[in-house]
Amino acid sequence: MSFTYTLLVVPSNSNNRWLKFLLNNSVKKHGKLPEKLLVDLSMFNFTKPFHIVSLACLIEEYHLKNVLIKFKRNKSDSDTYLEKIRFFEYWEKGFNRNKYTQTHLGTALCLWKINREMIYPYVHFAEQYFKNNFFSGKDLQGLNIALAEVFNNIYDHSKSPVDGYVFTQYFPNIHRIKIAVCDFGIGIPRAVNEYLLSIRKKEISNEEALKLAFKKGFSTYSAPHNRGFGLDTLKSIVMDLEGEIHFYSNDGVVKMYPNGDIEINNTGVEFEGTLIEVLLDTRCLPELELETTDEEFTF
Amino acid sequence: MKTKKDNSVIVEIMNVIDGTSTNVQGYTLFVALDKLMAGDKKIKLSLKDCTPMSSSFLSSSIGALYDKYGVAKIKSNLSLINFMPSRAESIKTYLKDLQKYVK
Repeated sequence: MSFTYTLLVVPSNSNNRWLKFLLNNSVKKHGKLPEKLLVDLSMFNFTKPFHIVSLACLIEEYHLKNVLIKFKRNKSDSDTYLEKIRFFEYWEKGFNRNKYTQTHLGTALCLWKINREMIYPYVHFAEQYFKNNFFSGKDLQGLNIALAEVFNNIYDHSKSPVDGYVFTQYFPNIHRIKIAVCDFGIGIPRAVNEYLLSIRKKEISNEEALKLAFKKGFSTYSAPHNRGFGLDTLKSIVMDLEGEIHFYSNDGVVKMYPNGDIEINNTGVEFEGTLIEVLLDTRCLPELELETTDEEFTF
Repeated sequence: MKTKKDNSVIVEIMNVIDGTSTNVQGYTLFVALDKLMAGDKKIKLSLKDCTPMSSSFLSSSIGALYDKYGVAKIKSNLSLINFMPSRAESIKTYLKDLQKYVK
C-alpha cells in the first residue's frame, strides 16, 4: 500500500537540532519507501544558506529514489525567501537542477546541484557576478578559490550519493558573503580513518581525524597528485578575508575564527556527510591587481 | 604555442585549458607541459587572463611535473610571463610547500 511521509521541518535556530532532524529523516531510516514526501514547512521560521543546502540534499535523497516531492507551505518570511530562490520548483517534473537557475533575489546565486563539469563555470560565474554587481574594482579570487576548494573536497573525498548542493549569498547589512555546501557522503573523519586503516595505521577519534584533515600536507590521496593543501588553502583565504569556517562532519564540528584559531568539538549527532559554511568579510576584499607584461618570473 | 629562436616556447595557459579550478584542468596542462619538458624546451608560461588557481589544479599540474622532473628542472625550464603577482606567488608558494611537505 502506498503512503505519504510527512517531513516536518523543524524550526532551525539550533544547529544540533537541525543536524538531528537531517539524521532522523534520512531515506535510510525507512523500512519501506513512501510514494510521496510532503515537506511540511509550517514550523520552519529561520532560514540560512546552511539550512537550504542541507534540506535540498535531504529532499534530493528521496527524489533519487523516485519519491514524489510536495511542499506544505506557510505565510512566513522564510517561505517568501524560499520562493524567491525558487526552492519549491527544484523537484518539479522537468526542472533541470544541473542548469544555472536565476533567483529572484539579487544578492544570491542559484541553489545549485553540484556536478563535476560545472565546478569551473560556477566558480567563475560567482566571481564575476559579485564583482559586477557589488564589488567593482575588487579582487574576488579568494571567493573563487574557496568555492573550488570545497567543491573539490566533495568530489575527492565524500563518495556522496547525492552529489551535493551549494548556495552563495551576499549579506550587505553584515558585510559578509556566505557560502554553504552540503553533501551526504561518508564524512571527513570517516574518510581519514578509512585511509589510515588502508595504510595499516590505527583508527583515531572523529575529533582527531578532523584535526588531522586540517593539517597542511596530510592527504588521503583520493586523487593521484593530491598533497593535502586544500583545507589549508581554504583556511588561508578565510584568514585573509577575516572570515570564519564552520565544518560539520560525522559527529565533529570545526570552527575556524578570523585569527586562525581552530576549535574542534563533538556535536553528539552522527551526521552522515559534510556541511560546510564559509563566511568572508567583504570589507577585506583587496583591490584588483593589474597584469604585468614586461617581466619574466623565474623560480 | 610559439617556439622562439632560443629554443624557448611560449605557452598561453588559457589556450591550453578553459579554467584553473579542477584536477582535470590541471592534468590537461601537465600533459601539454610534460611533452615540452621531456624535449628539454625552455617554457615561458603566459598567465594572461589566467583565473585563480585551486590547490587541486596546482597538484595535478605543477605537482605532477614536480613528481616527474623534480624542482631543479622546473626552475631551469619553466618561467612565467604576463602574470598578476598573486598568480605567480601562488605557484612559487606551492613549489616551496611541495619541497617542505612532500618527501
